[in-house]
Amino acid sequence: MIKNYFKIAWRSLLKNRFFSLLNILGLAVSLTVAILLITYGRQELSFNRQFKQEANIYRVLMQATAEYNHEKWSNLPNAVGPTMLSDIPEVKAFARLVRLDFTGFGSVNANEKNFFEKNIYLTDSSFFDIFDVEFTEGNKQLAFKHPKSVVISASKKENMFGNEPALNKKLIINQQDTLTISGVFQDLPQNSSFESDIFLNMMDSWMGKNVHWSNASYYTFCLLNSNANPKDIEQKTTAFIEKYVPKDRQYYTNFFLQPLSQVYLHSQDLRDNMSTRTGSIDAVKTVFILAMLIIFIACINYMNLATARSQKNAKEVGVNKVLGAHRSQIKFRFYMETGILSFFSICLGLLLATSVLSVFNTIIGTNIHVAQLFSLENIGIALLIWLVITLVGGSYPAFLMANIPSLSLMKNIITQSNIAQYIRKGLVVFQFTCSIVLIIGVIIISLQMRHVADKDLGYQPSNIVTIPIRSINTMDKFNTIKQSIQNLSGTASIATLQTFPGFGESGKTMHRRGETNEGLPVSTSSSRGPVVSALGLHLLAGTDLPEELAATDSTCYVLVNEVVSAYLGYENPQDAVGQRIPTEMSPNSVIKGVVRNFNFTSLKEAVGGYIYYRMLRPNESYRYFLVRYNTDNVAPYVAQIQQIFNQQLPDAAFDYQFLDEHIKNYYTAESRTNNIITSFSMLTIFIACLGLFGLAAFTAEQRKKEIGVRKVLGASIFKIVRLLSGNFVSLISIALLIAIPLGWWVFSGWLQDFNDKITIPWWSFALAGGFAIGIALMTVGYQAVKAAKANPVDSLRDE
Amino acid sequence: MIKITNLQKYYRTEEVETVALNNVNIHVKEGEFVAVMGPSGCGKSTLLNIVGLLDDLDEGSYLFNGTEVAKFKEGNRSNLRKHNIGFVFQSFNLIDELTVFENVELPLVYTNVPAAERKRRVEEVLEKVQIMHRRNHFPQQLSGGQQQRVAVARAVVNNPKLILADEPTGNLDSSNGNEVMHLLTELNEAGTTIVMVTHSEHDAKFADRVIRMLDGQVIMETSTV
Repeated sequence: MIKNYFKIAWRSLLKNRFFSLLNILGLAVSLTVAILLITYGRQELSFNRQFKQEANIYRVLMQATAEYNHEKWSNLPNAVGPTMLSDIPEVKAFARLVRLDFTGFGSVNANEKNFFEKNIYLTDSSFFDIFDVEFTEGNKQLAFKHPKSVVISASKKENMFGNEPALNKKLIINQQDTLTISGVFQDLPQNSSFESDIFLNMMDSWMGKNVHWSNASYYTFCLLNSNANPKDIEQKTTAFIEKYVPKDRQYYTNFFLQPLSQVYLHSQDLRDNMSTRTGSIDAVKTVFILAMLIIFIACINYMNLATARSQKNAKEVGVNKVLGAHRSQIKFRFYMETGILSFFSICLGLLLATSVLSVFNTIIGTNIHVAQLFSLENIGIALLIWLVITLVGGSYPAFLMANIPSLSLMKNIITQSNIAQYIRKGLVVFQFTCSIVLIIGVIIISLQMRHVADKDLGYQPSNIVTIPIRSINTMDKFNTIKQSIQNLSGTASIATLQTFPGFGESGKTMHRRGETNEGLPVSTSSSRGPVVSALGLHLLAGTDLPEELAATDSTCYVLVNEVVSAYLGYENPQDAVGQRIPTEMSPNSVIKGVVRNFNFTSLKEAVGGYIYYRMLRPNESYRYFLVRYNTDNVAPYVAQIQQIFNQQLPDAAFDYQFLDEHIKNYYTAESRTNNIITSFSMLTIFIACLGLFGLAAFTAEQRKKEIGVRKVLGASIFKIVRLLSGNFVSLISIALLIAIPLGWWVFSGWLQDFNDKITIPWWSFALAGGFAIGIALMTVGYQAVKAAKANPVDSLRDE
Repeated sequence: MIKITNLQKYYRTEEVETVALNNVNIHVKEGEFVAVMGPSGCGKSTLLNIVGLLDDLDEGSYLFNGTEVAKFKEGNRSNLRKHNIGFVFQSFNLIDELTVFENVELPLVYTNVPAAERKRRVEEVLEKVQIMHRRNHFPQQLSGGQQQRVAVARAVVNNPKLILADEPTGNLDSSNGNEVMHLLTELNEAGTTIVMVTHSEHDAKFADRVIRMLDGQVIMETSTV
């Protein structure tokens, strides 16, 4: 019996190759996306779950005062961890992490080679115990026993030393610190929040030794007793503020604990989340909903196509019924057919998923491996999806055909309830509404991104290369290197700065003289000389910062933007020049000049206060050259700079980044959203068209006799095509009517994230609608023309 | 074998009720060969569908081998049908996706006959209708006459007590038509009861008795023997 049904189902699929292929393809494409999305969602959920003590590990967070907009911070004063351990018995251990030089960047010399590293951290030795880090060389208990120790990951070891053991070998960081490798640890998992390959001992540095409650730069994890109540610990930790922190230094109001399992997905609202690996639980939920939606739509599409085709199977089913097949057997036959078809689709979907994995990884910004696609759990999920599709997708044709009397089937009289027809039409409207909304989104996002790219930021980020200079270890070398770059023919100007706009400035608070309560948060960057020309800032009044300072000059000279000048009460920038103002750098800072406001962060943010300052022995050291070049031959020019560095600093790694590339990173999320929406709009259109195709085929099949009669009575092909297409155009028009306000609403909301945004043009809706109708007409047109061109004798003879 | 009494069958739409069969009484004995004749629309095919338990009757009684089957549910009808009745249609109604062998085998599959037994019986009946050499062909690869012979083979493979034939020669030329009629006659002679709907006076002569219908009623019964 099963063999027989298999035979019929298989041969029927082969006989209707076109329909079968269409169906398999539609299902496979949907399943490809669903499989990829589910794999991605599962990967996101797996973050930080692999640590043995995960359930008892928490990250300590704190809430800042109103002055800092009640922000939640993940970076804390370094006193929090040690005080928790000493004062709260339920705390078993703590580990703090801080980036080297607060940036994590550093030039590393090892095995007579230079490496530029971007994730160097300082930590406590307890980190290795809390996170059960396995060592392949050395002993984790002894890792930080001796001063000047460093541990590196296995992959970094291989990179630096090949197959040679690394234990006790030397590592020179920024040409300043010579450290001994005291251990090699197995790489931390990719699905953890820890990105570092090099850990230094925090207790070797003032950062670990000098415990304080002021500077907040330290990510702090604690391990609690398994019976500890996190709420109690939070209260006890918050009590430290009153106990240990002077009133005028209390810029945070309370501490709270974040379970380790939430660090990855629940940290978007934190200022500085420690890791570039940051996910979003909303994104994960969206991904799973999308995957389910895609499977659902694929099922309905399958039903549309299968029901259209089942008209052709009617006689066979009727004969089977006459010959004694039970309803259950007829149902089984359709489930069997769906099962075969969806099985092929799943297999094809997995293959397709493998082949488009790299594209998917790029679009979503993840790094799923092929092995993950074929993991046991994933195969299990794929089989579950197969079962669901077989049961859901197969049910409509199965029940439809099983419940129609055999006589009707044999005479091909299949009538369907109005409800079924409304559902099918509703689905088409739904699919096209989604498609049109997404197309509207693609247009609006592209326009906004172009607006961002064309926007005058108030400075000129193009043609600037930023070069880290922490590894320059003497003043002589600094001067030689700077002069050599200055002498290159392509160099326009150089600034020596703490940092470049929007990355690693110091966050400070500005007060008007005599006021203490109110304050203006400002970003500051120390500068060793002029900055206006190198950055292309617009000087509104005064002059640039001075290049040279007399050895006795203790003044702090500042260059402020309009926000600061206005806050200080100067209506005219000219009035600000020469004024002495209190800053955190110096109580009598002198304003040298005022520059026009510039967007130093993303256009999503309003422009805040900004100060460049120049003084002898600033608290914040200089970390970058910003070199403006005026040559088109950029690669050879950068190579020349590299040569200068290599000559002067043979033991340091050279690294650089173009400033405009960095700015693009502000919009990574948006450009990712754009990619995702573009891909999904294409996918939904494709699936919607398949569904439409199925419905058109079904309608053409149902109205075969009517078309025949009309043709016999003299209807032209054009009129019949118009007759058949008309209904579908109405459906798409309904979709358009729903999609326009919906699209406007959704993407106006998206634009709200931008401080500087476009006005949505009317034609974006017209374009989206026109595109959808065009595609739909092409899809339906094929079936309509085919039906219209058919010989009426054939359709009438069937009667 | 078949005793139908006071059979009423209506076709209803929202506004109109059409009487398809009106007070029909029929009695067919085991081993009989009965032809039902009448103009198009007189209700003869409807009658045949009711006899074959493919359609319901609205009023009246239907005794099949002494059992009242008028109120049978679909499952019971299906069981009764597959064990007792074979069908031959004007348009053959072979399943395009199955070969000749598989088409004929189908009724045996539904009655759970073991595979070896199925093979033996299918081959036997294919030999009988002289289509064995085409056993692995698909229906569309056969002529009309050959297709109808396959359909007859399928109808008899389960050794039904009753064969219902709805215009079995309607789509065939005279020589193929004759072949099919001879086949049916042979089956009848071997003991199978046959009820055949036909337009053809020529075919009706093969039957023992002719029931003539008009406007849903039996108007005359004549014996041809």
